[in-house]
Amino acid sequence: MNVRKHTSTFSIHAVLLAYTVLALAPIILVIMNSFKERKAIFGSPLMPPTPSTFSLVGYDKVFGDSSVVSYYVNSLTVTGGTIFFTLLFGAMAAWALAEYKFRWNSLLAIYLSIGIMVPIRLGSVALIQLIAHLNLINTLTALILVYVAQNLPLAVFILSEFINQIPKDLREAARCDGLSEYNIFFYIVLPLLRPAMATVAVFTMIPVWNDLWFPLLLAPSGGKQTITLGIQQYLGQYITDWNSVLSALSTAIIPVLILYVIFSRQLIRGLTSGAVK
Amino acid sequence: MSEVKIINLCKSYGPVDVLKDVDLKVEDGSFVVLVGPSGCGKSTLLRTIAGLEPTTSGSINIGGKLVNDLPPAKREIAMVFQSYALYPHKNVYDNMAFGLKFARTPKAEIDQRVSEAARILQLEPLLKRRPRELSGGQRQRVAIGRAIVRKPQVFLFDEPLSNLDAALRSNTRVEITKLHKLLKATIIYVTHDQVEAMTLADKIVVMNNGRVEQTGRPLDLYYRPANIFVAGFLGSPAMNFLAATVTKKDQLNFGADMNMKMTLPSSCRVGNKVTLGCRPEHIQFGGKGAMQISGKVDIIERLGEIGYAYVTLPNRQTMVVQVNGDPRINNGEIVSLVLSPEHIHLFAEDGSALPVSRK
Repeated sequence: MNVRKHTSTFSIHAVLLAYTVLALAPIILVIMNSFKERKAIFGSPLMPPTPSTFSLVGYDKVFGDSSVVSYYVNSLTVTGGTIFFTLLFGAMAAWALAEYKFRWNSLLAIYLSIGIMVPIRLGSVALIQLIAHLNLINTLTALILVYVAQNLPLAVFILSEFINQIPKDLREAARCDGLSEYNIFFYIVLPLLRPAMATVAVFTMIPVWNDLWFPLLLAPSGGKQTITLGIQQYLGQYITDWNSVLSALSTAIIPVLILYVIFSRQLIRGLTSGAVK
Repeated sequence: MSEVKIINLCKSYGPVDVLKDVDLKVEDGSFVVLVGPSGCGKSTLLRTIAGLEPTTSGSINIGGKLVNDLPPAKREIAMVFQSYALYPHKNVYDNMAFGLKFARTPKAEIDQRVSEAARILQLEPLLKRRPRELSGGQRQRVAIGRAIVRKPQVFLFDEPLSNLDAALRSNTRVEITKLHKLLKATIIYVTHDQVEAMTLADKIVVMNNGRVEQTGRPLDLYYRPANIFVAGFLGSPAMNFLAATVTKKDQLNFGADMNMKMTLPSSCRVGNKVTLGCRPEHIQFGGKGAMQISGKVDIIERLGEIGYAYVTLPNRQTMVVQVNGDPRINNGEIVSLVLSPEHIHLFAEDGSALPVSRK
C-alpha cells in the first residue's frame, strides 16, 4: 500500500517535472544565449556561457538604444491601461448584469459573452478602418481600445460569477446604511472582488503583453511600437543581430513576471480564503 | 414618536400574492414579533417595512410619516440580518461607523456613538478586529451595534438568532430583552421560533399564507387562540386536535364509538363538524371526569423534568400528553385520559374558534 502510494507520488512528480523542463527549456535557452558571444551562440547553442564565451554585448546594445526603453514604456502603458479599463468597465457591467433586473438583461449578457467565442482578429480589417477614421493610427490609445474590447467579454463573464457569490444581504445592509448604488459598487463590491479581479488581470495581461498582431497593424511606427514589435528591428532580412534579440527578449520577460507575482498572490489568497471558510 | 402603522399592505411577485391586506400597528417603544411558518410572508413584510422591497398597494407609516416611496436609508430604520451581513473587509469599528460616515456625521460624534454602542454590547476590546476573526455571537453583537449607532426610529430584526447554537441563542435572547428595555426602542422582530416569540414579544403577530392570523399579547394568544392555525402553531409539542361530529346537543362523537359529553356553544347544531383542541399539559392520566377518553400508550419520551406520552386512541388518532419526569406507565398499557374542561378549545369547520363555557 505504502509502496504504491510512493510510486504514484513519484510518477505525478515525474510528469510535472517533465512538463516544467519542456516549458522552461526554451526560456532558459534564450536567457543563456543572451549572455554569449555571437560565435558561441551558433557554435554551441546548448552550452551555458563560460568565461571565454561570456559577453554582455547584446545588453549593451539594447540599453544603449534609447528607443528600446521607450518601447518598454509603451508596452507597460498599453498593458496597464488595458488592465485598468478592462477591470473597471468589466466590473461595472458585471455588477449591473448581476444585480439589476431590467428588460434585456439576459439578452445583453448573452450578447456580451459572444465576444468570448468570436476571435477579435477576424475583425482586423474593420478595426484598421475604424482606427484610421478616428485618426488613432500609431497611438497607444488605439491599442488600449482594441485590447479592452477584446478582453471585456471574458472579464464580464468571470466577474459576474464572483459578484453572484457576494451575499445579497451585504448589498442590502449597505442600502440600509444609506449608500448610493455607485458607493455600494466602489466601497463594498470592488474590495470584495479583489481576488476575481486578480484572476482577470492575469488573463488579460499576458496575451496583451505578448501580442504582436495589433501593434503591427495599428501602431507599427512613430515610436509607438510595443517591445514585442520593437525587437523585430533587430531581425533583418539579411543579417539578424541575435545578441540584441536574445537580450531584449530576456528583459521583456521581467516586467510581466513582476506583475504576475503581484496578482497571483491576490489570486491564491482569494482562492484559499473562500475554500477554508 | 416612532410608531409604525401599516394599512392594507399588499405585495405580489407577478401572479403570486405574498402579502394580502396586512394591517399592523406597532406602538412606540414596543417589541413586536412576527412569527409564522416559513413562506408565510413575515420576512417579506419586514423587508417591505425596511424599503428593500417595493409595495404593491397599501401604506406604511413610520413615526407618522408615509414612507412608501422612500429608500431604506431615509426611513430611519436599521436592520439586523440573519447572516449579520457585516462588511468582511472592514473592522468592527468601521462596520459600525460606515453608515454614519456616508451620512456626513462629524468624526467626533461617530466616535462617541460607536464607543457608546461598543460599551453597551461589550465590544470594546474587539473594535480593531475583522468580522472573520469573531465568533458567531460576537458578529451578532456587531450587527446589533451597527443598528444602534444609527439611532433609528425602528429596529428590524430578521431571524437574528437562527445562526447561533442553542446555548448562545438563549443568552442572546435575554440580552436582546435587556437591550430593548435600555434603549426603549421600537422593535419589529421576525422569527419562526415560537420560544423567541413568546419570550421576547410585547405583542405577537402570527402570520400564515400572507395574512395576519392573530395579533395579541403572547399569553392571550396561547390561552385564547382565535383559530385553529394559531392554536396549532404556538406551543410545543403542538396542541392535540380531535375531529368530531356533534351527535347530540351536548355530545361529541370522535368516530369509533368514542363519545364525550360537554356543554357546546349554542351555535352548534347536531351534525356539525367541529375540532376539539387540548394542549398536552392540560390532559391528565387516570382519574375520573366528564371529559374522559381511553387509549393505548405507544411511546414515552422522558426529558427528565417532564415527559411526553404518545397515546393512540380507538379512532387511530395519536394524542400527546404531558406526564411527570418518571411516570409509572409501560408501553402498550391502556390508560384513561381526562381533559380539563377549563382548557378545552373548540373550532368550527372553517377553523375559527368557538366560544366554550369553561366550567
